[in-house]
Amino acid sequence: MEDKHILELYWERNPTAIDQTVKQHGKYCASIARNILENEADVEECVNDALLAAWSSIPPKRPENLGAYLGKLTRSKAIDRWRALRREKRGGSAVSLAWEEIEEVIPDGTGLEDAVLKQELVQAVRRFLASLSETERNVFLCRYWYFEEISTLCTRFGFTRSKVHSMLHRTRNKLKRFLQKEDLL
Amino acid sequence: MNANDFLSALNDADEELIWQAGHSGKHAESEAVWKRPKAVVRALLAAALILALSATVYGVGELIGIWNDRWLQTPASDPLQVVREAILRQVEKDYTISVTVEEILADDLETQKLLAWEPDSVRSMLNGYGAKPKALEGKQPEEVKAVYARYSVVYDHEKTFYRDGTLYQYFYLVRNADGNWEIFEVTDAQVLAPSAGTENVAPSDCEHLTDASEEAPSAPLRSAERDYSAAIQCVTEMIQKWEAFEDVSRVRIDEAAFDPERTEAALQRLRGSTLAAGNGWTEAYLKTHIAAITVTYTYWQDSSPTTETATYWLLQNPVTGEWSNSDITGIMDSAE
Repeated sequence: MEDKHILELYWERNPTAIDQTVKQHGKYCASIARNILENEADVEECVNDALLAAWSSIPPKRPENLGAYLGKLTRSKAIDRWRALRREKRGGSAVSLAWEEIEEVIPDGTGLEDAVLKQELVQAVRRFLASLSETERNVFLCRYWYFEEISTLCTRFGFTRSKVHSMLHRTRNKLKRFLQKEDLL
Repeated sequence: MNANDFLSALNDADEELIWQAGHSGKHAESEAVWKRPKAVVRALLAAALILALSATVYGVGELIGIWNDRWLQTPASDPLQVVREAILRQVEKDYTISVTVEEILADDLETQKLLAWEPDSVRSMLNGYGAKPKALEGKQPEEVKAVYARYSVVYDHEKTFYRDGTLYQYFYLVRNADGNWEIFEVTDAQVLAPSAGTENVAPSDCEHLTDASEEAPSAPLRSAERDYSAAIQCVTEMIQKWEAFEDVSRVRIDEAAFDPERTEAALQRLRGSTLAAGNGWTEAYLKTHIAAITVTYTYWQDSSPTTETATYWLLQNPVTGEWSNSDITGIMDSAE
C-alpha cells in the first residue's frame, strides 16, 4: 500500500493504518532502533511507542515522507530509552561511541535551555548538512542520525574501515569550524 | 551547547536528506531488485521449455511424478538416522544414479531459530518472518530438531534437471504422536561443488548405495577446490561503484584474488565466537561460505590517483548463493 493511502487511513482513524505502517516501514524503524538499543524487547517497545506517537500526531500532521517521519519518531524514542538505560550502565554501543565522537568536537558545555537557541541550532545543522557533498552527508547521517556501526558503513558504501574513519574525522572537523563560524561554539 | 543538543538538533534535519542517507550506498541492492524480474522471467521461460521438451520425451505422467517428488522416510527414534536414510533412499528414485552421505550433524543453533518462529508477533513482522509451519504448532523444544546434511549425489540428467554434485541441506524434524522423529520440511539443496563430467554416466567405481560417513571423517571442502570468482566479482563491482560518488572521477581494479590465509584466519577467529553464535553461523556453514578477497585498486579524486590494497571478507548466502560483505568486513578489519 502506498504511503498516501496509509495516511488516509490515519486521517480516517482506521486502526488498519498501524498494520499497514508496520508492513511498509516496520523493518526500517526497527533497524533504526536496533542501532541504538541492544535489547530486542526494547526495540520492539520503542517501535510500538513510535507507532503510537504517529497515531497521536496524524492528524493533524500530514508528513510528506511518512517513512522518514516514522524514522524520526523512532530515533527520538530510542534515544530517550537509551538515555534512561545509560543512567544505569554506560556501554560501548554504537550510539555511545558516536556520542563520544561528537563530544570530541563539541566539548561538554551547558545544555541549551532556550527554545530560540535550539531552533537556531536546528537551522545551522540544516545549513551544515547542505554544505556537505552527497557522499560526506550520507556517511555522516548514517553514523550520527542512524547510529550505524563503522562495519555497517563499510558494507553500505563499500569503503574500507580507514576510509570511513578518515571521512568522518574530516566531516566532524568541518562541523566544528562551521559551528564556531556561526558563533554556536 | 553540548553533544546532546547537537544530536537532538540533528533529529530535525531535512526528512528527504535523512531518507536519502538511509537508502544510500545500496546501488547493488536496488539493481538486483530491478534485475530480478527479468531473471525470473528467463527462469520461467527456461523451465517452460524444459517441461515442454520433457513432456514430449517422457509423457505428462512422468512429469507429475517429478512435481510430486517427496522424500522417502521412515520415522525413527534417531533423527540423524531418519535424515541419513531419507538421503540414501534417493537412490530408489529412477533419476538418481548414486548418493553418498558425507556429513550429518544436529544443529542446535538452527533448532533455536526454528523454535523462535513467532509469526503472529510484531517482532516477527519486523523481522519479515513467514508463516509458521503447522508441524511446529504445539511442539515443545525437545520435540523439534534441525539437522545439517552434506552429501554427494549423481543424477541422470536425461530424467531430471536437478543439480547434482556435493550438496548441503537442512532437514527440519519433529517428534510425531508415536514419539518418533520425522522430517516435515527441508531447505533447498545448495550446491557446494557441482559434479564435473559425471552427467548421464553411471560411474563404474561408484556404489549405488554408499554411506561414507562411517569410514571417513568429516572432510570440509578445501578453499582451493572452490570457485571464488563470484566473490571476487562482488568486491570489484562494489569498488567500481565508487565512480558514482561525486568526488571520485575514476576507479581502476589493479588486482583482485582469493586470499586463503586471511580466509583461514577469519575462520579461526569466528569459530566459537559470540558473533558467529549470535548470527547463527554454524561451523559447517562457515567452512564453506566465507572468503577473504584481497584487492588492489586505484581511484582518482581531483585528478590525483590513490592506490590502496584492502581485504574484504565476504559471506555467501546459502539460499541465494550471493556473496556479501555484510557484518563481517568491519569486524575482521579491526582484528587485523
